[in-house]
Amino acid sequence: MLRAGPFSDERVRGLANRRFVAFYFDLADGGAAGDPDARKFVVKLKKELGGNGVPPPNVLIVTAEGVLIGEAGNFASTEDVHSAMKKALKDHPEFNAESEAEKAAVKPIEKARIAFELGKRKTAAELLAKPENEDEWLFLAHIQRWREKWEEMEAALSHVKRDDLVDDATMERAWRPWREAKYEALRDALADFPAESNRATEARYFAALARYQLGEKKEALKAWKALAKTPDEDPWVYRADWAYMTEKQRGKTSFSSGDADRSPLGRIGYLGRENPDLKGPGK
Amino acid sequence: MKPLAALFLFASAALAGDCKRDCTGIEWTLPFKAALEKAKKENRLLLIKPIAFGTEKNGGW
Repeated sequence: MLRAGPFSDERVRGLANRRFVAFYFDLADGGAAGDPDARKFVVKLKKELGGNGVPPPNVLIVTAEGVLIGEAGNFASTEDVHSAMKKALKDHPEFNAESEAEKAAVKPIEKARIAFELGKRKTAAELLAKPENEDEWLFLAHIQRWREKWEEMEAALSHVKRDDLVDDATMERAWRPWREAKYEALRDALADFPAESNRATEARYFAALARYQLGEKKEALKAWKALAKTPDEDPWVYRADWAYMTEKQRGKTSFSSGDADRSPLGRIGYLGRENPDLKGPGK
Repeated sequence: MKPLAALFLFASAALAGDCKRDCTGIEWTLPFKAALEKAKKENRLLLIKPIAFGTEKNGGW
């Protein structure tokens, strides 16, 4: 669930890549991602992870010297994981310094991108107050979309006319009806979205979500299943798999790694939180 | 939130170290020694996800 949810979210991804060294491993040394050095390091911090039948392990925020700074639950929401990361940096500013690459950034677009990935969206928008080309206007629209400043987003997108950016502009615009729970408008916004677009998986995910919210569950599940089976994985493929399985595994109390029970992506199922998009856009 | 469910895992025969990295966009640093070195060198915190349900050669976890 963490991989389809928080780890696939742009906010968590941006902060993780800017300020953390991310690492995952299998607590079983013989597992495909087993790492005995990591297991010893972590079991010193969390002794309960050293035995058999361990509880679902939290996400751990730790210094290189082995001091536990923060945690987020295995079933935490994106917001909770992001908050735990931000709190760790706030409590320990010594780990929040600019990198050499960040210090070397000169152009407004570079500085805006850094600010955005660190979660400083207003600052990012201010840094990009005077976009110099269509790519920069598109990025400003992206920032304003995350801020839900819809008029500002539209104003920025009005400068985006290049053929190779049209799909991006369409996808950015589609976020507004999603956030406002206007599902017919969301469906219509993504009709005929080009399959070869770099935003195609995102568009397919939301097109299916619109159908789901409009009561066309069968069609939505079919679309998510097909998306989750695409060979090129990305965050939207993961989220589609999660959405599909949220519906399919309702009421289920046991999971098996047998092939018949697996998700379209090959997962054994999703413990914990359901895909929140099925309940609507939230706050 | 679902109640904790029973898990039935069929053991993977994959060897350590050959797990396909995921495609979330998070820049995972593997193996742990490399992550630890990087955290020390760049003065960063480690963000660690231990996995208890098994990992598979095809990247599943």
